[in-house]
Amino acid sequence: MKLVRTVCPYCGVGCGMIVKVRDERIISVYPERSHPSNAGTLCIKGWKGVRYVGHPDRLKKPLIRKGGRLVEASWGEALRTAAQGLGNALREWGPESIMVVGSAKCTNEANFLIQKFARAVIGTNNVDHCARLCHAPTVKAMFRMLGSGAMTNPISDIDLAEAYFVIGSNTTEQHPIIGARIIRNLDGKELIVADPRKIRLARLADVHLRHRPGSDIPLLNSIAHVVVEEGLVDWEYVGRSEGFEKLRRELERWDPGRTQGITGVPPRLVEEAAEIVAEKRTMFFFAMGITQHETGTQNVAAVVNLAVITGNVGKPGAGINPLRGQNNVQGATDLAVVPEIYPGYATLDDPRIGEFEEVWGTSLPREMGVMLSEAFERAKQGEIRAMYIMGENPAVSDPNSNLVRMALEDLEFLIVQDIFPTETSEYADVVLPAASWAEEDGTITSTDRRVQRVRAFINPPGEAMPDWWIITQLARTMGADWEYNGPWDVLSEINRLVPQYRGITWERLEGGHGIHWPCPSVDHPGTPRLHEGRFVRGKALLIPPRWKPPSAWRDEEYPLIMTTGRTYFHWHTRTMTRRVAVLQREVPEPYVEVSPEDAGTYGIRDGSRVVLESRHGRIEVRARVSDIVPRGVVFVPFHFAEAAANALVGEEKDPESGIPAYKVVAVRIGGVAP
Amino acid sequence: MIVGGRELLDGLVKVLMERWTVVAPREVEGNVVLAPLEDAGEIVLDRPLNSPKEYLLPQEEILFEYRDGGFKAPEPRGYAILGIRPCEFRALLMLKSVMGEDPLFLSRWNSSFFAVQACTEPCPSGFCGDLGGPEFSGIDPYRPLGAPDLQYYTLDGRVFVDALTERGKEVLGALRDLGEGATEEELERLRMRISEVWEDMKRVRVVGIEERARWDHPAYSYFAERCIQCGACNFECPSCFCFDIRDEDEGAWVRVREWDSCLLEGFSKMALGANPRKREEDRMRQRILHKFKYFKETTGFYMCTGCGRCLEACPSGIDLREVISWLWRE
Amino acid sequence: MAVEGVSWVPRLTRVLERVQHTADTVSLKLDLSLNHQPGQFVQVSVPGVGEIPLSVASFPGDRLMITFRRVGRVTAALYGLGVGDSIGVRGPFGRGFPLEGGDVLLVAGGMGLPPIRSALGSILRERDRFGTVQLLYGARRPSLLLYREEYDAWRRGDVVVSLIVDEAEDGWRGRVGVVTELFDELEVGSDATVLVCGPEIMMKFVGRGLLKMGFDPKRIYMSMERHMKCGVGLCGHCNIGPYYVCRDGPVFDFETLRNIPESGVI
Repeated sequence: MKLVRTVCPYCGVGCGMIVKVRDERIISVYPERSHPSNAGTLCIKGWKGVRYVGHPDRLKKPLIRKGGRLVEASWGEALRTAAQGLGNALREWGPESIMVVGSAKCTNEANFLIQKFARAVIGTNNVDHCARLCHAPTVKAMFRMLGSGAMTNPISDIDLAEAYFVIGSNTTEQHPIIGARIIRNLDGKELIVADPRKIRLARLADVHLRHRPGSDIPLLNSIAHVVVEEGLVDWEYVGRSEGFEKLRRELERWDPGRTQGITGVPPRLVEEAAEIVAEKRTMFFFAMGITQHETGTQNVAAVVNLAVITGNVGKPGAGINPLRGQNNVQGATDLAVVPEIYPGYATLDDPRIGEFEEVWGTSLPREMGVMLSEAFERAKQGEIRAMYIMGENPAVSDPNSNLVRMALEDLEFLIVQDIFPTETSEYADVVLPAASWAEEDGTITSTDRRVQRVRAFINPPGEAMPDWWIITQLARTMGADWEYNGPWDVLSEINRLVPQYRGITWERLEGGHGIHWPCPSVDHPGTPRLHEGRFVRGKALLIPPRWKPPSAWRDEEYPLIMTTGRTYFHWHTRTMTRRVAVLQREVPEPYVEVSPEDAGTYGIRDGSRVVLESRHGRIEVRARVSDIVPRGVVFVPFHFAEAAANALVGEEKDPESGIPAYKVVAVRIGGVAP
Repeated sequence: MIVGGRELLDGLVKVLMERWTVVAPREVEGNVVLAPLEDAGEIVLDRPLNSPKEYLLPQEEILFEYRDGGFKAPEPRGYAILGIRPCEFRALLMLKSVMGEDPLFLSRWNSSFFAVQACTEPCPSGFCGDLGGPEFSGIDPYRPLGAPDLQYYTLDGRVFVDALTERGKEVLGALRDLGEGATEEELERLRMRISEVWEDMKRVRVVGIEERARWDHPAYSYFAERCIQCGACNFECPSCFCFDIRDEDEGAWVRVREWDSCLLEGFSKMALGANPRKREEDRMRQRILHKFKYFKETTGFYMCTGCGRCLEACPSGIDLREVISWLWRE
Repeated sequence: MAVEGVSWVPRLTRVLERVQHTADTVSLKLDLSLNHQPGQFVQVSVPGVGEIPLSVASFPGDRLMITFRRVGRVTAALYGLGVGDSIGVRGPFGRGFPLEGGDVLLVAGGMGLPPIRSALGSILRERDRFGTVQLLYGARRPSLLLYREEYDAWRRGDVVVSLIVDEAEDGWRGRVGVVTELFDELEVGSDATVLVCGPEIMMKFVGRGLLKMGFDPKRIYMSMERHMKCGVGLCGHCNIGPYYVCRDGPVFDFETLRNIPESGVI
């Protein structure tokens, strides 16, 4: 029997948990009392969801495709086949023909190595991960405006705030412990929720701004308009920023009376919201409801503007908090599993790249690489010929899944590294069995920049191996002279090369509850709160957000707006949660939420089977008639391969960040069966 | 009763370790967890973060395995469980009144040894004042259902150990060299302290609440709206017994049971999808009425002993004491 | 409290016969004789898949027969079983229908017929203990009426069989409507014992109608469905009010159910 302190593998909150293990089996799970983020609580996924690790479906041996079938192979053979496949693509079509995909579910060490593999071994910046599909716009906008793209406050600051402004985040479902911590604080505090859906927090809100999907900028601008017009601006913060005059001029045209026509929100509520955020210490929270739009980057800018001019940044209980989805999406972004930067947010023209070249002993690419959201299109066109995908399932998670599957089919060579067989691994030439969260030591970075240790407490099944080991071996098989004896060696390379992580060493993470980056030296305590006293950028940059109506707006042919998202009981493409009995019991099948009004129009009853069609695909799902969604809007969770919401999502993207517009898709009801 | 220093407690653990795996509060990197001890000195006096339920009804356990043409049902052994509080022991008695015929539970219960730590300090979240109080006394209302083998108290650095069963007396006998008899003055101070704590713990009236727990009370929907359905109140509750059963196919047929939560929609959903408790408020009502009305009406006891673990584990801060007070108010 | 000597280990037996009733409904006859009380249920296991509660459809003492529709994971696996396949059984569990003589009215809707069939079996064996015996049975369509080949035998045993369907199909010459419309054909007296099994909404209207006609709520017995998992009053899923459907039911008298707001039949 052993008791191991680790961090939950699901969302970005990073809840501390203690696991009791006997005979390679998880006996009990306990929420960690002393952890500042979750303080003795867990959501159902924490309590129940971690038992997927022992599921018999786990990948236990490397597989290689022989005669059209995936057959078991030795590690040696699998690595040689993988290296050959990538080597061929490299020789025939050059480094730009290879795409490498990292994973926000894997450790910092694995992610650091996979981007190093792309850049130093393959020689391409074609490396990305699912952050492209979640917070690319956040990083883009916040980095530019504030100098840092991450959450500004630690989770525990929720207790210090006087008000909360939640926009585009179904917090109690996707970051349950943060959502619940807001609920816990509601007595005597104000809650503003901006969401087209009447989510749990909206039902508890003092002000629910039920704006139309895609109208976030008009809504946020109208609030900022009131702040300016009513003289509620925090001049000290305006003094700490630049661009206010330009912003003020832009805001003039967004008076709440005018924007009501776009947002559907009565001016009275806009004014109430403006007064609250101007007068109270307010924490802003946002997530995919802000970013997954064609104007995603501009949406984020609108949030930042409002927070800055009301003085709600860089204070205990006030700040801008993009909630990161995956347990380590923050870390994967910090460590540059993205094509546009090097680890530690070094842009492609940053002289710091020279340092990477020196340490890695090779010259490195400085051209922008291919983003995940364009990789499959490029593959379809024959520009991308080979892929190495670690811990992601784009066949279900990415937009226009029909195209993704065709592109996967067309690839000359595909390596998939995962813990379970997935819809994506069906297309692989080589499948590499990886260790799971329970079997791999390393660090992860939670949504509030808290870098924490996760611990191996059971052995991987069969011949599965830790990700860092697999990547290292593959690099060595391809001729690189990598020498790592464990994830600690990788972290010390991160310490050396990434300024934000410089003082966050393996030894320091052994006890305690992690360290918030930036942490410039080993004697630095870390930085729980950003922009205190001074913005990281120096002065904050205010940007007048450019709005355009969503292109996939409803029309006569497709009269409904579909918005996609997640449910509390499942995680992403369900590779983990569908193998947990209680979670699968709660939401066993895909569904579409339909408003009672639309249900009446189309003759849909609760439980009816409905065909949903967009210009890009069709799915069949069961209807849930619910007043959570407003008339004219339907909601579909994207978890289910058998009714992939993403098959309906088109090619519309935010030009600045490349994020697909998952939140606004014109659809129609193509048929109803009782 | 014998009195001694810390070595008396360590001695007790050592004696029990000869015959049992000893489960007691121990430190795990800044947290106190009720878990098996490896060494007698590991026991601490703080209240652990987990309830003792799992040592009689584990979070997950195998009911049977079928392999090579035969069934194999486990025959689990119990533990010597130390450091659980009177409220928790009473809750285990409630658990036994339901699960007493379950072969696995019974096998553990019959081979367990219980040493309760009486509360000489009030705890922040409990409300045992109306439900038995901070020690398991000879006239405890739950006494007819059973008693812990030992009860120990700590006061001013001294440990007082008392036996409540024959088996407890035997163990106490083996400890005689480590302590001495309590003086009248010491006992008086202990009694004073217990009655002070008891006064403090009278935080909400519970007795008679079954008459007030109406079907259509507004409290259910109010609190249900705040419930994120994590299940923790059920999981942490030492008297909540509900479990789910599932099959696994790992080369053999394995049937497993695991803790379940009546606040989850799937708990009462039937095969065809109909659900008598589809709304969240229906499920919140069920939890409250089951504990404070139905169980009381059928057994004479509340299925709550005021340990306060549910409110400690609730991410949204739903406080059962507030729920009860509201039931009284209207 | 709990049933004495709870055992989690099922008896393993085999499928002797499989009868297809409709496109998705079958009966399995098992190599196991059961002395049950009509209205009781068994927990049926498909090894490695799971366990579900099913009413016993067979007559007491006969080979166990279960009838079910393919609706979920476990029933889909059960549906896929053929003659000779292994199947696990625990039970019988719960309280069944009281059969004390006098007039008996049996009311069934759709898939509610199996336990009523079992009760009919008991009645037919001691037919002279009972007065007038009448079955009212409703289904969605004529082709969904269960055990159609047995109705003649029941009628020969002096049981009045009245049928009704929601929607007629070709060749149906019987009545169309809901089962309570058959009350105009009642031949039993209002002092009859009534056994009811069917969807809650049906039982609700049956109860309401019978009360209006002067039947005694204490003599109307309804078989409740809940999410029963353990079968022995432990796991908590089937709790309604102070009762466990698996242990204190599934058959309850209407007087009791009328006092439970969430029984679904009031």
